[in-house]
Amino acid sequence: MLAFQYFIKRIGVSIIVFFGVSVVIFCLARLIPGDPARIALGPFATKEMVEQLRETLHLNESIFIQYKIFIVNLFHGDLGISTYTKRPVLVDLINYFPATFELVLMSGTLMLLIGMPLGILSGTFKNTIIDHISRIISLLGVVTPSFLWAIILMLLFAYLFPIFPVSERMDETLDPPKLITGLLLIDSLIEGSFKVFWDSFVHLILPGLAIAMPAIGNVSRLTRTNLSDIYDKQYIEFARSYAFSNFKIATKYALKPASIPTVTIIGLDFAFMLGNAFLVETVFVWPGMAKYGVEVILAKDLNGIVATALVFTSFFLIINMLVDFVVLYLNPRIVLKD
Amino acid sequence: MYNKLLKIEDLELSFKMYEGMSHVLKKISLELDKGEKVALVGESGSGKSVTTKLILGLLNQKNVYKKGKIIFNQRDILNLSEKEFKKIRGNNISIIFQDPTAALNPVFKIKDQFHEVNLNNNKKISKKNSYIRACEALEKVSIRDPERVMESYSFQLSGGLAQRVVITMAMINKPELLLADEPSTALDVTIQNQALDLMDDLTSETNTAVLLITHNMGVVRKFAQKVYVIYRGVIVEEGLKKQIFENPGHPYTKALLNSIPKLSGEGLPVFDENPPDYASIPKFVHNF
Amino acid sequence: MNIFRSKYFYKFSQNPLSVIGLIIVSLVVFMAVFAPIITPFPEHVGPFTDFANKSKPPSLKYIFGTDKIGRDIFTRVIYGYRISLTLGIVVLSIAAPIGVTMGLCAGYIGKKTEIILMRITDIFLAIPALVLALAIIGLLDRPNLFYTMIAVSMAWWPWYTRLIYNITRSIRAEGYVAAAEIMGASKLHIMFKEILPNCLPSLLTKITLDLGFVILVGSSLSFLGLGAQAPTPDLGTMVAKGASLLPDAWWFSLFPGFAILIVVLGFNLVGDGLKDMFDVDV
Repeated sequence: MLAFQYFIKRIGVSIIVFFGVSVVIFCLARLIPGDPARIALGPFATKEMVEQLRETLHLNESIFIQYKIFIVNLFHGDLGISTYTKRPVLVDLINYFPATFELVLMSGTLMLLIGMPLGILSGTFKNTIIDHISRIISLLGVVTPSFLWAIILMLLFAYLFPIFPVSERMDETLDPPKLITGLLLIDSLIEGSFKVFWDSFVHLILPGLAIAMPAIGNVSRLTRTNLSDIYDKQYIEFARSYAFSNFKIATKYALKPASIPTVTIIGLDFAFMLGNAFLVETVFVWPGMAKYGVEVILAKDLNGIVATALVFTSFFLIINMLVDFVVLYLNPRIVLKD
Repeated sequence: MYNKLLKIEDLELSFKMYEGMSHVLKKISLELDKGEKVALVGESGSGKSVTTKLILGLLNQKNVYKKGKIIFNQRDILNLSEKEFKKIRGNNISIIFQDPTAALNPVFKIKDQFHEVNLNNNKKISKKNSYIRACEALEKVSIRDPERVMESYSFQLSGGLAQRVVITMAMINKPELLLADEPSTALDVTIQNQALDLMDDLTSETNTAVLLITHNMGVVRKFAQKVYVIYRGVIVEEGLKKQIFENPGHPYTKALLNSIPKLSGEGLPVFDENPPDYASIPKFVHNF
Repeated sequence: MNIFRSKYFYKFSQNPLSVIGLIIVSLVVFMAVFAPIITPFPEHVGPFTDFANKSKPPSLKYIFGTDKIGRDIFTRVIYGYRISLTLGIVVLSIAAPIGVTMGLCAGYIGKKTEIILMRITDIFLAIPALVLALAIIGLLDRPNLFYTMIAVSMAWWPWYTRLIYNITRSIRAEGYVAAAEIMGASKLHIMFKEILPNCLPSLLTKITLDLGFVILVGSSLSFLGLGAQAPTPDLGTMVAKGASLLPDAWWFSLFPGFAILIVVLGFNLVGDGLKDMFDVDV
């Protein structure tokens, strides 16, 4: 099976899953008790107004037709109007998604930059004090809910030791950069305003860390276990017998095969982090998709809910695909084995 | 007379377990001349494999207790520093393992692993020269398409081909001593012979001594010049191959020889219900 | 089963962390069960106000301080454990049987059943758990504990399906399954009497670990306002109420927060201990 065929197959599966997910979410949304039109318009709307809204939203049609309309609209980029913000949902997405995207990217980076080295140290110096300390950190990461991390980090590093800012994406006194991608880090770099770049960066750290901590714990533990399993393998004994550099063994020779099972979990951890974004954005008052998602859920905005769920799921599917491609690079056996 | 390449004197090895001390090697001694082919025969758990690890200095954990001397080229290497060992490994002393495919890292190409072996010999060697050197070595062992092998991964090679690659890696730096730990056990019987022949040819060419660890008397008969029989960490018999096979002195050696399946089909070997305590019967040394 | 206890328990007790976890879990369960007896102000759990003592920091009388309407936070935290533990038990009582049965069927019956069941599972696994639970609760009438339990169960079962499916597939090739088939055992018998017992170590370990994680997810949902409603004391809700007041009334959030941490830690340590003891991977 060539690598190319593998790519196509993988993308195909993801598309199918995406549609499957859309069906599930769609059905869930339509199966709820209560009349969405009534809820949207409030208790004082007249029966005619509710009926009219039901017509507009096609709520009286069969569920298959509703789904068909939904999909057709989806392809035209029309996700409906949010009954909460009263704007097209697509506009809401464009406004709020970049903030969450940037935040989750920061979390992902932190997860790798902190989690993997922690795990490598743990696995290489197994059962020493380094191992014990990093295992405690990992454990605390895994068992502490993200919102608690957010609160603790905020209390420690924004109030007790005011190193980091408390909330929002940027300092109010600075001017935001011109809107190109919506990602403050990139837009400010394009514009050349380093001060804004640094400010946005600093604002990203605490919430990013709060989201990432559970994943850091997970990645660290997994890397440790996988690495020490690999250290027992005969090809590492071979490497030692032939005096391969110890550093090279830890960082390349043993790490590469150990990364394969770890990377698979990293994909799952991204899903976990996406969920955590909901919690952390609330604490840090981050104007992102997750905060919007929570508000939309509380307001029972059908279109908003469906769109949010789809966006997060798509994000997750894409990450998983990328993870699979990375695994392909790491493990030639998948493609080459006849 | 110190022209011996390797002289192991009264080597003891114990592991500290939570149940107590586990004595694996109890004062074993053996000697190899330059270019000599010696077999260390015993069953699983006799301690033969850990001997190779000690020679290479790979047993350094906290719960390891070692005593005695391993003299290699007039130098006691038992307690050498890691730094010193690195100079020896792969250069002066090489090792071949039982399963060649397992000895090669499945996510790196053969050429990368050859490069590391070459680097140990010449820290400044470039990747290109490394590649050329490896290809030349592979050609010498009748691998007709060395580039294809170099670009392959271990799981793409047959068992016999992998073993030839591993033997090549072991010999590429022309070591003085080759440790072969059950080198053909994982291979098909038909390939076994080829691998052993290859080992024989290469080591004779470079006058490399071979310490062959095995439980297979058939392999011993084919390959070794001198034989040490080990049982539970104790050498129970030593002698030249002819002497051992024609005139085994120690009951354990006799038991080992009896367990070789015979083509004439004499049925299953008959074992003693209560075998004697082989370890307590004194060592039998043939005069040679 | 007695042999199981003595030999395995010895190995379990070798690891100090696992024992600590067991102690933590036992303490939490004990406190939750005997809450009315051990807490100083059990009446604070229901509708109760005492504005004279509102927002008091931790003291000897009120160990964790009081909340905005004068209720003792310590009492409410212990009662909050009742909610958390109930959530964990109920969710897993729903998710595990469903997931396991589906996994057994998919793994053993195979062919079309396998494809359909696993595709459905994959779809559910594709949606991040919290997102799915959020979506489900959000769409239901008004959030409460019961709906939270349903939502989390729906997000959780696919993990059991996948675990049991993998184990079943690897067991399927084993000798004793074929032997049972030859002897004419029914599919049901094989699935539940031959294959399932072999899944038990992994299953027990996963359930233990999940008890902690379900509480984690549940408290996250209530943090967002989607769990048990006032005046029922729910740990996540309590943290949320205090979050907007930071850094002032820090005891509103920190104590319930740490309470969550401790119970999840306990289950996690026990689960890890089981993992080492049974030598499984979940």
